[in-house]
Amino acid sequence: MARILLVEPDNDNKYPPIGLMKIASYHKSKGDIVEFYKGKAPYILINKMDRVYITTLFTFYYHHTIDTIIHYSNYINGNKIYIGGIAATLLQHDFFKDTGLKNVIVGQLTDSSIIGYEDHINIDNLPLDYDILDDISYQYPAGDNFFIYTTRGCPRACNFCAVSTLEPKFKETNNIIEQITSIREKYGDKRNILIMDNNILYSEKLEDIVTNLISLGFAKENRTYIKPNSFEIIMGKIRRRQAAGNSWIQQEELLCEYLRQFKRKVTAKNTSEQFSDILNEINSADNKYEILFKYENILIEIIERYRYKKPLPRYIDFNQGVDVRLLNKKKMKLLSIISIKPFRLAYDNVNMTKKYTKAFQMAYDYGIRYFSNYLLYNYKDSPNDLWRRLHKNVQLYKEKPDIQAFSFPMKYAPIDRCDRNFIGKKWNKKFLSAINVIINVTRGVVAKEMDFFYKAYGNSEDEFIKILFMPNEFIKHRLFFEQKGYINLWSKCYNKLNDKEKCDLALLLSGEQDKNLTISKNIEKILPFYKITKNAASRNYLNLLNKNVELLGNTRLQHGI
Amino acid sequence: YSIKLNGKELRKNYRENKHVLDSNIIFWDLRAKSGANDTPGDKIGILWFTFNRKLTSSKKDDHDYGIIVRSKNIQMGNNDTFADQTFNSKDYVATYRELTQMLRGVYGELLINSPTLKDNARREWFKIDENSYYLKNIITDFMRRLHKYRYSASKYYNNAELNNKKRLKEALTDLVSVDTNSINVNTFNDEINEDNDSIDKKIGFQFADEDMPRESLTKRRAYEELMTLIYEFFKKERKNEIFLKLRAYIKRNYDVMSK
Repeated sequence: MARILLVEPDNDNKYPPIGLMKIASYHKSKGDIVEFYKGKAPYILINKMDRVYITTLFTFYYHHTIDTIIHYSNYINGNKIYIGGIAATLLQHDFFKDTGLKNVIVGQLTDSSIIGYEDHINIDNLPLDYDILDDISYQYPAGDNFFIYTTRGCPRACNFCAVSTLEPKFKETNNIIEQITSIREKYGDKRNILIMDNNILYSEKLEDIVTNLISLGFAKENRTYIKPNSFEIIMGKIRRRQAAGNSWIQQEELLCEYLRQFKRKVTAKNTSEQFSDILNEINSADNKYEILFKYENILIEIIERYRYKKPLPRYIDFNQGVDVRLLNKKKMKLLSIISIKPFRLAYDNVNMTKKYTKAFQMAYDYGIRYFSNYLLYNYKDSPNDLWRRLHKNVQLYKEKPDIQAFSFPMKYAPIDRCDRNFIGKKWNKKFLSAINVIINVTRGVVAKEMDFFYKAYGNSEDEFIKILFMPNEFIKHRLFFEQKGYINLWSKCYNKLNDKEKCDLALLLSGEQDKNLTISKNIEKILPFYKITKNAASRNYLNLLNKNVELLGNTRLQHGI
Repeated sequence: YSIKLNGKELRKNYRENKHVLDSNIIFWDLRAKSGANDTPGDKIGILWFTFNRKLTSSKKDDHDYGIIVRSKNIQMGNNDTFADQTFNSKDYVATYRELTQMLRGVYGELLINSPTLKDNARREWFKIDENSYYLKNIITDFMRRLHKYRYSASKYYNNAELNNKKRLKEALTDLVSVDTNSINVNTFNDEINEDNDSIDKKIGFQFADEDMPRESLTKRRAYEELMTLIYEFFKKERKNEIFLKLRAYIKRNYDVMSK
């Protein structure tokens, strides 16, 4: 019986580590004790382990991941550390070099011999072990869903995408019913399903997949989800953790807290008294689990009587999106009978506009009302392209007031780089930081409302470029600086710049200017605006600006507003 | 860890109905790295520690603080050895002052008995090689956990909201490593709160609570110490009414100054 530690570096991830959950299933089936830790575990824990598996995700977290790996290699022999995941696959040689470790696994674990076992199990096909997520206090925002694959790989091989390296071959793996049934039996039902396929529309078995999803309760407008009895779920967790040799103190506390909160829902007098007595006995007991076990059936019955059991709709999320180039009426008709939310479409360049619009319209015609749209930028596109795509979206959304829709601009970062500092040919550092500031206001989302869009991104491509040139502080606190008159002044200076001066200004603001660059008078006038902070403007430190004011004539900044 | 005298288990009531081993002494078992062919690492020593669970900072006159390092029963360095080694490691944990500060209120020993760790000539540490480097990493990790615990405890003490409590529990779990020490973190945590409530009641800020109730704990403590001294002086001089005037003046002008 071995002790296995599964590690994920402590980044804020939305999705749980699916690879580690499969490895957990594998090791638990061998009778090993498996623990999960997020970040750098203490020496006293690492010391006891026979193996450590460390997952890796984005390549731009490379240095942080290396730091985590080195922490573990400080305390445990390097032969016992296994590194895998997306970044490890894409940057295998860098991991070898920077960690000095040899067990850097590329691709999926399709055979347990890759990690030194002789039972030749396809670990990648194993069901996920959700119990390991209770080993840590971090809550994955999308943790409590079914995660499944029906296909692997994607034949497109887009240059910006890592899938062709990670999953070179496209293949069908549809065993949804088996995957979901086994999870339901062991861990209880979950409401939603995340289908992680890279390009599901390539599947020749789409009809089977849809049929299977309907049979599992994911038909459109069917309300089939009733939240399971939490008491039963947590008791099940405790039992499994006891059997697996894991600590279950946290789950016990969680259960006691759940019962305390549930007490107010028990309205019948006698039952309420009975419930309170049981609760008191639990609270005063040294061994709470014993008491919980003693009254398990009674508590299940009481909770069953009073808990919320209204059926809720279920949703399917094709997490990697739907390929607009492959969407046709036949496929759309199939997809329209399952409850997809949101319908994710990629709009990666302006040349796709016709196909994208057609796909969007088709989805709407077949009853889709929740949309999510990814827009790649900082790749081969230009800022103008981005504005056109964003604007197109907002126009499409405006014509359909009964939809909910969001656009997500996604900045391109090459998959073989260890940071996010890549700058596209038609972009510069200033523009990229300005986009960040605009997007951060709404946490990365571009909403569908037109007035907000025009305010944030401008009424035209030229206005968008002008906003990108604006001092970031002005972009961030637009209303404030407008009211104070700073933006107006800045605009006057900006409008005097010719095209060459604008290029020079962009270089200067990006810190990429040539040392022989001659700064024109117009640029000299506009540069001081980039030093102004909201704090300074609030306190009316106007000396520098007032000099500019004199040069510009009679325009005055408003004071004391 | 069973301690026997004449074949009989030696137990002493440390607190009410608690054995000495139930007094929340925590053990870290120290082993060398395991071999390449899965042979377990040799035991190199043991670290035991306890701490007074006082969340607020300890007084400077506590001379018995810290983890004393002993190699083959000879003391290495001083009370701040752990801080020194951590400060000299490649990983940053905290400033030197913070490292020494966090050892106050912690009591324990690091007992090393290993042929692979050779004392240096000054008997303040071990000769620099991969084994002492490995030990330094362990000490750095301990100090990192202790720092995290102290920091979260301080945050929780100043703001007892749920997230801070969660972080405190996590930090404590990492430090005391629940399953080897059979310590119920939840009970331990509650006892921490009890201890600190009673400590505050004992101190009973006589002046600070009235004169500056909304200021931070640090300020109130400093003010209290100062006013107590001043009060004692004027009491000795039998000029209590001047003390009252002085106090009223300070309170009035402090309010104006802080605005």
